Amino acid sequence: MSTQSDNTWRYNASFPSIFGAGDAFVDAVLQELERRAWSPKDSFAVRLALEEAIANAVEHGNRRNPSKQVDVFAEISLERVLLSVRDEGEGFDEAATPNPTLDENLEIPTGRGLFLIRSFMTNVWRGSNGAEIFMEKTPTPNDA
Amino acid sequence: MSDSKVHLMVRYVDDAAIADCLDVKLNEELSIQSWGDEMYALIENCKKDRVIVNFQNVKFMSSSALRVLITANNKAKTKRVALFLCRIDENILEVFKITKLDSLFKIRPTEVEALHSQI
Repeated sequence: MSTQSDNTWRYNASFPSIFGAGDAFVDAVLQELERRAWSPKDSFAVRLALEEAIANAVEHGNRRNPSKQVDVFAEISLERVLLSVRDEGEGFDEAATPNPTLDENLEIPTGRGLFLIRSFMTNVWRGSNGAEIFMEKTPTPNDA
Repeated sequence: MSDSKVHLMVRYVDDAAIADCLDVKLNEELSIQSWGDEMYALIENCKKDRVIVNFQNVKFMSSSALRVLITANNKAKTKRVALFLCRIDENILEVFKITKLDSLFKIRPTEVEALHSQI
């Protein structure tokens, strides 16, 4: 459901843990970014982070169990994008995930989703139980 | 499980098999799986010295697509085929740089440069 107040657009939704089930939410976020003239570069970053977070929730959090839900929230203004993605899993210890940019890990095919989220968003933090991720993006200056 | 669409169009030029990616987005799990299967088969059956993957059409790519490319690169190394990537969108190239995968892959701006690069 989407709402609009104080020049801020808000949208929250829930969907089953099936790949593709979150597409409508991602599309709605992208449309709102375009409507507010966020740059293509920042829109790409938001999309990447959001899709990676949703894929992590479906794959690792809810283990592709379609009876488990993914809850998502977006808040978009001209000044910032705030996103959250929550699954029904037990959360995980981020510190235990290997750094994919180390030479010895470059040829390992998996394990880049979270790294990309942290790299492309301005701030990223987790809810207390680790099963919810919050992602914030502020506009990149034009000359960056 | 995979989808039934064609994801790569393959041409042969000189010593290279050139695969044009037909998708605009490489982010859907089933599509990526099929795309990967086509890429792996191309490398496995390749009679050429180099495979060039042309990303001209691709505007978005998730980490699942990176997973396929890394696996393809590992297969190419085993098969002694040189795998080149070219015409990568500016935003996607940033993903390669941030993850340092630009040091793992042979990335060239154009198909011609990939064709004429030393193996």
